[in-house]
Amino acid sequence: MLGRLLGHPAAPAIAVIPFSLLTMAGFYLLLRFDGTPAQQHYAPSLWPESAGIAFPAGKPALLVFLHPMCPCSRATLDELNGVLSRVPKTALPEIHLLFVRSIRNPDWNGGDLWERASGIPNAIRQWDEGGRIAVRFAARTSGATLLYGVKKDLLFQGGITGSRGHEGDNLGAERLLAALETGRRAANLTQLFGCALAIDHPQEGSR
Amino acid sequence: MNYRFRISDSPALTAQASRNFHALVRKLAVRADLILAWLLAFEWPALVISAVVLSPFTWDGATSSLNPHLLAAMLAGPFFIVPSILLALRHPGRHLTRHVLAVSQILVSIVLIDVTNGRIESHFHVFGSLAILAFYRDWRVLITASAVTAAHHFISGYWWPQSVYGVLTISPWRWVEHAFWVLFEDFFLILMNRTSISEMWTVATREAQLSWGAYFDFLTGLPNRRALHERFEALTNRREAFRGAVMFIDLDRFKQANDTGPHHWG
Repeated sequence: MLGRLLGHPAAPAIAVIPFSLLTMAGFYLLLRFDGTPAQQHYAPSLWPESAGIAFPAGKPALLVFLHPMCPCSRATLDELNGVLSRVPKTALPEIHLLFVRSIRNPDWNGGDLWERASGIPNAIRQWDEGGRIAVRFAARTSGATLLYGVKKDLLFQGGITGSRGHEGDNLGAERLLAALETGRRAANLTQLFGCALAIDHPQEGSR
Repeated sequence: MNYRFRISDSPALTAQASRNFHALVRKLAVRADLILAWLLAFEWPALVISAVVLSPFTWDGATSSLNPHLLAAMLAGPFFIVPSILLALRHPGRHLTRHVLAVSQILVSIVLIDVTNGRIESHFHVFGSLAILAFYRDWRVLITASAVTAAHHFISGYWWPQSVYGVLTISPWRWVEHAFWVLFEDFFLILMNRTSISEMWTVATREAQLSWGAYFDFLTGLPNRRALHERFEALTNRREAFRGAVMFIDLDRFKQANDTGPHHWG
């Protein structure tokens, strides 16, 4: 029965319509997932005293908050690598890659993202247990990138990928590069795409 | 040698050459359909495995859920890969089949680019797919595939927030640049296809000439001795009794007269 139905000369022309609609709907949902930014929170405009990280002397500080299991954040690290490779050595900041780990997931040790982060020259990898540091910088999404200038003022905040987990030219990476090169504050926060960070006590330390 | 010109005097030869040519085109299309069906059958599990390895889950804090990329890789099968394969197996050689397969192949490229988190290297799948689709030697298939690629770039550019919210992007016309490189490849593939089609027509014409020349006299266009033998054999091998008459007309010393008189009269 099914064989006869499939073999009918008109079957392909009829079948094309519903399958096309299904496929288009599927791709629309996929694009929506990839292209929907996370809700953003404003980071402190000045480096908080109780940051949990010592501010480097005479250097800007670059913080990138990462969910250790987030597959989208590979693109963030690749973009970061790309930006840093274009910055003059004298303008390079101190880089902190903060992997936010929940106390509910103590088995999050290492992993692909942690290993990939080791490829970024002179970057300091560290675990942010329960998201204590992330909370102080209002970071809620993996890939959140903050740049503080030598005067501890916020120069850049946002994401550095064009969509969820996608490499390629994007506004965030360009603005971060400009902020690093000029030492001036970037125009606006750029959109951020990634998994929500595993923060155990979101209210703690919030302004 | 221009065979098309030479056979234009003989409608029977032209018709035979055309039949040979279309048989070749169909054979080629059926073979290309099969290659695409096998390729898609291989690509589906490859997509799912890639998604499982690269991005199995998406995270909301400490809890995980199935990553839409993995879901897309899995649903690609029932949504468009399996129907395309069925079409290739049940309706090979049809125009609709090759266009559906072309669209499916490009959709696989799009899912692959997504699954690999937009790795630049995975974009090469699009160019490889166009080269495979050139097996059809049908420029319309390449245009269909390229249109899907351009549409995806345009639509995703539109839905991505930079475009939606009107924030200045690095290059809002980046999709045009990508489409240009696809067209760049298309241009050379279509050029090659035209050459191949011309060669196929030559082969078809030669086959027609050879088979026609085996049974007909080139000068007079009349059936020759072999044609007569085969006609006789066919008639005598029929199940029902052969009923008919054979008339034989002969002129005495015709060859001698033909060789002397007409040559002389010029």
